[in-house]
Amino acid sequence: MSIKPGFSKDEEQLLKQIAASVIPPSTERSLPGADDEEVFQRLYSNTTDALNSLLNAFHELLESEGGISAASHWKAEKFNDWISNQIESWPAQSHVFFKLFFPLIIRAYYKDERVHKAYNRRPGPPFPEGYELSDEDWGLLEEVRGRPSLYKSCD
Amino acid sequence: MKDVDVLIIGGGASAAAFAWSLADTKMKILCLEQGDWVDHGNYPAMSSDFELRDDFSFDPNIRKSSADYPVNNEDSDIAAANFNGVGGGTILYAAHFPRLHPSDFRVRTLDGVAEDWPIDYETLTPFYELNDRMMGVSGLAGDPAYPPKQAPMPPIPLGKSGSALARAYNKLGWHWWPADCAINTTEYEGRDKCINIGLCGSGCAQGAKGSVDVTYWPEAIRQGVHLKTNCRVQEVTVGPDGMATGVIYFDANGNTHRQSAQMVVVACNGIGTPRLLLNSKSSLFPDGLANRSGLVGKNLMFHPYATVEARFKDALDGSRGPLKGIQSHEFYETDTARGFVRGFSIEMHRGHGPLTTAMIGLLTGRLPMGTNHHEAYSQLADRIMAVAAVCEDLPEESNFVSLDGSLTDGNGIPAPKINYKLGENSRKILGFAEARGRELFEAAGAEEIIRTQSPMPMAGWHNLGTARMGTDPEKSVVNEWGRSHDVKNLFVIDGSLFVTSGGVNPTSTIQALSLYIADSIKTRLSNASLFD
Repeated sequence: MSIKPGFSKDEEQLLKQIAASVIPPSTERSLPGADDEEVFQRLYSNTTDALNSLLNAFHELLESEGGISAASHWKAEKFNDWISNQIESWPAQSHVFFKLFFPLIIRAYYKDERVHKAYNRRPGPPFPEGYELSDEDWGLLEEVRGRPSLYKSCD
Repeated sequence: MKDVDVLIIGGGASAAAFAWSLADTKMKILCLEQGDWVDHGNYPAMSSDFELRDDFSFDPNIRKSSADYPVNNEDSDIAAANFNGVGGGTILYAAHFPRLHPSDFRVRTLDGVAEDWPIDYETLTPFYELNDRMMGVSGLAGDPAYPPKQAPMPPIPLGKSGSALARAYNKLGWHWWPADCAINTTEYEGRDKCINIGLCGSGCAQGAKGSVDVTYWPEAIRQGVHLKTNCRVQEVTVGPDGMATGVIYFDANGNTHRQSAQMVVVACNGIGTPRLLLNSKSSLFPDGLANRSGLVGKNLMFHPYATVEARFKDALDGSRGPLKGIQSHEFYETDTARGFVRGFSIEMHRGHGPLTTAMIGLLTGRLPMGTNHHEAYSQLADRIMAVAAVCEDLPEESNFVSLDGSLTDGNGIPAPKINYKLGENSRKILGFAEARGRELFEAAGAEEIIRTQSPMPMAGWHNLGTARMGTDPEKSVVNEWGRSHDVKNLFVIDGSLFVTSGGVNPTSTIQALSLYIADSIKTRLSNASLFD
């Protein structure tokens, strides 16, 4: 799969690392993580207008953290602590990149058919199949039927 | 087109009903609509992107189609909403179809505020009934909140959400009833029944919702009414005798045309209508057409909404099914012990799709990122329901539509500016209504309230009162049957007519009014007193 222009290979890898931390995969629920390739491609295609802003914010973030070449920074425990801090401080105190990224990754993730299936939602557009709606118990209305008129007569 | 008998401006709810009613006179009727026919094959429900589409947003400043005009909401507590195209607001409305109450027409007499309407509930009753049949309304007879009425189709199923709320209403001893909705629950007049797509608010792909592009317009056109799309009217023109002579309009290519007419009917909604009249200045009407009272654009009323959203332990309907289901009028009439006059209705808002649920979770702090994300989402999916109080808004001259000094539409026509602040009475109603919403969800056994909005800031979809009807030319823009006091062949037939707002969705009343005005015109045509 081609990388979206603007992100280097290393940058995209780091972006996916971040994505997997904010929405991790779940084997128990048969859910992909947000680093899933399909989710990422959707992130790019959904984000046409905001992609430049996201890219700029990402570069700013990297710069503030010593750059993409600061390899040790993005590894293991240090990364986990760092991303945890960013998650906990969202949205007020987090870097502008995360303010942009969280809503965008949610928009990409919760359009995924595997996610819909995991939550008993039929994938695909609502039309033409539609859905069933139970009619439940109209006997509930009996308590209201006997009430006196509620409206003010203006005769 | 050569001179026509009747020229209608706007192709929405009121225009369609009016054109259909007048068609049997065999007059030459032309309607100019600034938008186009809406392609039902392009509705969001047809695509997997249904939760991401902006092209069917109710906010024209987001939608920005060529049919739209921008609206300046900077000085308004509530942003205006609309849809421009054949069908107007009915394309996007939830099709909640309640009538006003008899007391709504006598607010001055009963509560000492605002003005009484020049007509009453009984005057509109036959037109409400006719309109229910034409639009296709589902509901249930016997509602103690109204004088007797009968909908042509059975009510929308309760679903799990409706049942949960109904049990809570019963526990509190509050009124509730299946809402009248212009949604087919059976096959009706060649249109199929609702299949619970759940996207009423972005256009009904099934055609089960009564939008006027599938109800009135096909009938009116079959009877000879001519509807021209992509025609944006710039101004209504007048002759030296002070009578309307027609309009100047832009076609889709930006070319201007003149259209002459014996009678001009404005149906552009509570914001578009005053905008057009204020843009129609002349030496005879330097302050805008039909504005000798100075009231064109004044007394703007919205319905401020108080919404409360709650999370439930068990799954409800989510976004499956029509948005609305049951409603309560427990707090509709004035009770002075509450500290305000008039009241509100309470609507059920069924639920959200997967993506909207996640976004609400994120924005309300209920959907953490990281380890607990999926567990938290599972506690939100199909478990959110909202109630919305549709609060009565009293008319105040300080709330008004004016022309923006610099903002224009694609044809250079000045755009409207909304000048609106919540009144004291409306604020009190909102506070009381929000508290009742919380009480209701507590009785329903909700786990927690996750969000409240009072007022809902983007909910200006009911634009009312800006060319109101009345018998006194000093206090109203049109008379008791919609004719301008100042220009005797100029009519207004939309929500601008409302003298008071009531506390329910207005489309049913807007259309009943337009049918009533059409009927009044036909009566006066027959005795040659139309322009007296």
